[in-house]
Amino acid sequence: MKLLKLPQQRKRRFGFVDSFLWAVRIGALVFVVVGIFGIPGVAGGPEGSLFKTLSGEGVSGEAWRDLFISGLAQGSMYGMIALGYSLVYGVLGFINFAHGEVFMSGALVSFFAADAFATAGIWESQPVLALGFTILVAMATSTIVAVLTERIAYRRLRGSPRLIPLITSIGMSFFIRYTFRGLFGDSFKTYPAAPGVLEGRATIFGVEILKTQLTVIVVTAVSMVVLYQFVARTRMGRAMRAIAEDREIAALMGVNVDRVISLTFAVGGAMAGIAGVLWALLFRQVHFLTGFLPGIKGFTAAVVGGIGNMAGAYVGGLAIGLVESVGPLLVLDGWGIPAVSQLKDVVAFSALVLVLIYRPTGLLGERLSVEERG
Amino acid sequence: MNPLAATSQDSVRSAVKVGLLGGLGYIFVSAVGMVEGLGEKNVIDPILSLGYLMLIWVGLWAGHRAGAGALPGDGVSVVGRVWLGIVAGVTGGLLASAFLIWINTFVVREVFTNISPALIELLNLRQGLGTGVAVAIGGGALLGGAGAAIGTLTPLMRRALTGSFLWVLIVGFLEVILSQIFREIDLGVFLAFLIVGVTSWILLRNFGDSQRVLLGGLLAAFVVGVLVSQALSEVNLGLRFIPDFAYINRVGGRALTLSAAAIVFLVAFAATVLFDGRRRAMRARLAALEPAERQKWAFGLVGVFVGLGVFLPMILGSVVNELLSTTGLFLLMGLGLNIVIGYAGLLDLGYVAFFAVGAYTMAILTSTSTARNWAPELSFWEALPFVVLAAVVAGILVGTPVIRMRGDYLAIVTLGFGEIARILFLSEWFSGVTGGALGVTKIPPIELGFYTVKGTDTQAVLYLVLAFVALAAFVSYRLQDSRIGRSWMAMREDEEVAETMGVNIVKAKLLAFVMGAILAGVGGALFAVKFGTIFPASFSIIVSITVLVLIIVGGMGNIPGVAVGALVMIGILGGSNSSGLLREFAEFKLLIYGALMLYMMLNRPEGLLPSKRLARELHQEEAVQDAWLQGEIEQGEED
Repeated sequence: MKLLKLPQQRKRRFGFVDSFLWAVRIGALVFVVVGIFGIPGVAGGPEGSLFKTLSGEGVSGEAWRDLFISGLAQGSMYGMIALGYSLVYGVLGFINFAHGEVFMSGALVSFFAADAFATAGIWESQPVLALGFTILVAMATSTIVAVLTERIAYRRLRGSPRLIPLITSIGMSFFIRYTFRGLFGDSFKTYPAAPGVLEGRATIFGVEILKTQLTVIVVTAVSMVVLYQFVARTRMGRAMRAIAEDREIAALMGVNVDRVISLTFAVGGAMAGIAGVLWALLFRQVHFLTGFLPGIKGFTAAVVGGIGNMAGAYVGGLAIGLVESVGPLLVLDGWGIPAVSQLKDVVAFSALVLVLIYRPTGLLGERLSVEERG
Repeated sequence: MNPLAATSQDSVRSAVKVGLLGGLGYIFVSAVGMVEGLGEKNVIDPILSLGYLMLIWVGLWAGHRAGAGALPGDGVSVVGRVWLGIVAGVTGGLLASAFLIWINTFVVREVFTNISPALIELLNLRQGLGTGVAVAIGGGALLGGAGAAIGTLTPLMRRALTGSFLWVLIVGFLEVILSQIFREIDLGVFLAFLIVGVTSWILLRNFGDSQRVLLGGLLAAFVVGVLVSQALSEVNLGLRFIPDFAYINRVGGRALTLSAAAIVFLVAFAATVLFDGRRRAMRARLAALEPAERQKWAFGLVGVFVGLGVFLPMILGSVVNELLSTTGLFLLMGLGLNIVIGYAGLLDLGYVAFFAVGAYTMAILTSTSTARNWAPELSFWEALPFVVLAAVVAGILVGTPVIRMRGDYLAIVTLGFGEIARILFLSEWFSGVTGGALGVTKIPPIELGFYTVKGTDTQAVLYLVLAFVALAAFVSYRLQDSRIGRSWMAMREDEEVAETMGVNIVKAKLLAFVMGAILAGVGGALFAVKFGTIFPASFSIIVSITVLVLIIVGGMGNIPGVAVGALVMIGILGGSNSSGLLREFAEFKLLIYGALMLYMMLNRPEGLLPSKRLARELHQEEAVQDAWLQGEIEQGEED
């Protein structure tokens, strides 16, 4: 209900902020290039990780390959989490900080299913069945948590000033996290080891790859395709797209907005639930704090890919996964910085800042509803 | 005759729904361990522990909601409302009983760690499942009915009843502080209060127009007060019989005795009822005051707080002083974050980064430890300008990249910066300067010339913290209505409009970040000196969230609100790495933070003590809707 039409934003002068941002852009580029290639011919300067590898003293070729693949596996899980952020942001226009907790809830609750299967021996004898059921449990839990958060909190806040749903979701995140701690305790829950079929490595196109990582990559890819088909072809999917485009018009066209928004949360939750079990398969340990970092990285992935964009979420997830697994060694180690693996998260967050500076709309472009485009 | 016949189906249905919610509440507080964890702490000695209080509160709430849920036009009588409350209570009780039967029959501890035998004992009142079920249903009915009945009282009686009960709880919770005050109060402090109070009263009455006389007079009164309090500090007033009578030693800490609780309740009740007329008259007079007149009394109120700040630490003892200085540190940060979020509307979740920068700058520059490569060993006062400088630089470094970002991107990017700062301080890369995971040790005390403020000297630390808090509050207050303050608020309401009206957005945003960073940086510096050692683990995201919660609970954009928030949150519940008055809450602190954030945002986003302007902004939507309903806004104006 704007009473006054604003003039087009006037063209800004090239001021302090622009020079700062250009300095950051150029500085970051130089930092990365030097980290990889070094400064040739300068003795005592940074060697560059590439030349370290070529000269045989740095990371070996196989190690690079393993890092790359584990980055892909990790990244596809980030992509699954990113979907939830992206869908919700596309429709409601706020960051649902509690989404990391939705992921955690699936991982944590499905532990009890997996543990029960392992004790009963089904985990080994019927791995597909057991794993499938564990994933179902995780999906159900995450979906319920996600839908409940929307029903209890966010639904009442539609149309309120921007800060409010944002702060609410931070509160929700803490509430869920420490509720789960209260319910299930603060010990680490150790998932049963991946069933025997998934032990060891498989060779795909001549590349050796850990079977668990392969499972993660395949399962996420399949889920992504299924989800994409769901959104692209079904009636509910069309309703989701309609609402993401323009909520008011969609409502006028007879779309049940409340139900479709619930569905959006449900879909995001289900994806996070799958990611939760995959996470547990790879890292074995889950905990009530498990959701925090993957949650932030998932959001980072959504922004990197272009928020509101489903394919973007997946691409962004892969990008973040790769950057944080390969980045520290590729760039920082080239500069001779010690213990670079500690700085994994620094690299991921810097990537977020840099993407927002270089290309705020993300790699594949953002898709926001009319209300959010402002 | 069926009393429920008079109520409509809908009211009963909603009562059942509320009852189910109440039952879920019972299950929730039991299953997350609150009933057991808080069960040790007795509030009123033999009859009421904090754990049971949670359950009782759930029942009363459900009854109250159910009773109030009857539609106004329903013609529901008082009795009908009470019955609705009872329906809700019984429904909740049934759900709770189902839970009780479940946990009594199966051992679920493998999964739900907090459903322990001790909890089951507590819920069964140590008498077996039958009693537990009977108490859940019967107690539910009783509490539901009572809750609904309270709702049907006249407003005055309702306020008197709930207010008095609240007073009992407050007196119970503040045991540590109150006993300390009554035990230690001496003639000197008492006279000092009297002198300052009487002088300021006389001054305000007679010379209220001349600020010079006011300030001079007050200063003189304070000097005399301090001298008197020092001279007569040996003469104890002998009031220790009061806490000795009122509190009794128990396992979970000292608790209020039943007779003391009754006295507090009756006194508060009588006072509320008897002085209601006078309270109203006061309020009316206050509302009718001229702005200049009101400012005068606000000035007097500030004087009272300064008086409390000057004289109370003398008698509070080290435990309470320690608690208050932690609260003060958080208040300092809260005032800073209040500028960033409350005034300028920028949701900064990486606020801890500035706190860490301040703490590390101070620590690195002053530390006398030789474990690191670089230790200039400055004094506190020499290092302070560098702390401010570092905070300014950090504010600009964080602020500039995010200036053009949408509000919510800003939140996550600042969160990222907060984490980056913590990891870098922790990393081996900088460990030559920052000490890595071991942190920086041997930070020297502050030399004031005439006195050395050691970190262990809680009273001196408190005075120091309070001095900085007062300075920060003054700066915030002066900024509020200044040119930059007004441009912050314009920007908060609508960035584009503000820019069109000539607000320099870049400058305003950067200044907000920098001001916030300076206050947090100074807070960090004090933190470093207070503890003498800092570790990267002290600077986790939880600090940012704690500060955020305290300004949300207190009231964004309002200085007294932030102070109240800090006292309630940090003083009672505890800060990110310290416990408050209610030590039992420590384990549930973050759960309660989350719940409070949710509750406040959903029901009272402007906080306990709101800033008027922000409250109006937050309820703009409703105001517009009201106006629209009244036909004040024509349809055609929508663009």
